[in-house]
Amino acid sequence: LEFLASARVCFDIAFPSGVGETPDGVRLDFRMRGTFDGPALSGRFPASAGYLLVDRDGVVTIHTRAPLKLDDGAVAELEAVGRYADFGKNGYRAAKNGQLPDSDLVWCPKLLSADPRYAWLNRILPLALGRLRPREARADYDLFARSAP
Amino acid sequence: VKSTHEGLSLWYGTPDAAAPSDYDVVACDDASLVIGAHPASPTNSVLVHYRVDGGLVRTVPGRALRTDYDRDVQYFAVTFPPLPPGDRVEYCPVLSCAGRQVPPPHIASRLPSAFRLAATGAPRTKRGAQRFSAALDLVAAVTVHVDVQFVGETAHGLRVNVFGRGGSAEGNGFRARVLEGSTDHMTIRRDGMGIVRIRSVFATDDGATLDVESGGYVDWGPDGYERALAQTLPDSSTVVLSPIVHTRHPNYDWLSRVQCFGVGRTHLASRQVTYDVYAAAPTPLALQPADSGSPGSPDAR
Repeated sequence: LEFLASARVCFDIAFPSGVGETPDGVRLDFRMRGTFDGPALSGRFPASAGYLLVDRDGVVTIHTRAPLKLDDGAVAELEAVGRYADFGKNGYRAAKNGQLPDSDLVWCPKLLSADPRYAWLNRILPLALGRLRPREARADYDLFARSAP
Repeated sequence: VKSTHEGLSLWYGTPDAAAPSDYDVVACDDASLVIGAHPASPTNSVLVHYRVDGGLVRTVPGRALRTDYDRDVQYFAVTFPPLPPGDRVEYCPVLSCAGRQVPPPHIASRLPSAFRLAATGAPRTKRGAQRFSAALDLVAAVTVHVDVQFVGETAHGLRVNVFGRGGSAEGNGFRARVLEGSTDHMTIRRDGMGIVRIRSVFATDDGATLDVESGGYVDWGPDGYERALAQTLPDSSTVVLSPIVHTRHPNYDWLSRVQCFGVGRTHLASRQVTYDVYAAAPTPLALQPADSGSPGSPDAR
């Protein structure tokens, strides 16, 4: 795996959530913004939003679509709908009560760009690994890709 | 820490408002805390007074994080600027609202809370530096026998169905059959990338039935769309997958909690797809502060 960039994100999970407990799990809305820097990508995430879904086993799925503004003026998009974190066996109850534990992050976002300089983003499936710290309203993760751009 | 004064309450270093304590060692570019305040008010403001090793007292403002209207509680986040080299940071958050403040000035001036700074020689987190390594544990090497059905063009790309006729998955202590009926409803984009939508069932030798779904890509090459249109896709193309497993079987509960990562190739001439599936986990890199970096004010670049 090749290291692409390191992301630091203000990840503010709203609690109590506007939607709360649904048949799909506990839905936690979040707002996020942040930066990413690394050998392949450098820029920032402007403010965007999404939601986490915590299922009855405490496993967390993310649903978000965030713009990426790269330092050289290009624009890309990060799309993520998939497994994100594990709040543990008591994670469902913790999500209902708003006492979210810290958790490792492992997820596979998709990146898309219309900018020819970043057409290679359309051809990789990144693996993101890091740490979610809800009480500090932050997420830190590194992005990797299987092949070189 | 909790204090109340003039009808205002403030707390930090609690489960809902994390803050470093005397026992914590924090990198000099990575100090932050969360402060709880009651009652919630749009006129509440938080200022943290701090000093390093008994030096000049400085301040850093808090930014509103969220409001819990049911509990009438507001939270503020504070990110310290990069701190000068030193051993110990003393600090005191102060909540102010309409001329009132907590804690009172005579307590605030004593800076009653503290944390320690990482040794001066400790490596500082550099922006853009890698902080985690990827620990990939092989779950299984998978072989699926497939039939390919070309559906045709749509507004979203060219639809191709891949039907599994069965297969096998073998790993360290893991043996399973890929059941017939597994499918990949693929859409090939105009840039030649096949968008994978796999849904399949694995039956393990010890009696578990695993529901496996996956997104991902098959890179058919820049001319992949045209080749798919002509039904002459290349024999061998790269496959990258993001499989997740659902099961309640106790032997594989752990697989239901991880994001997997798969890499492999197509072998269309022999009507097979082979790929290795790994369970991925982050490992913090040893020489980095454990809590590297701070989101701080990410837009202020």
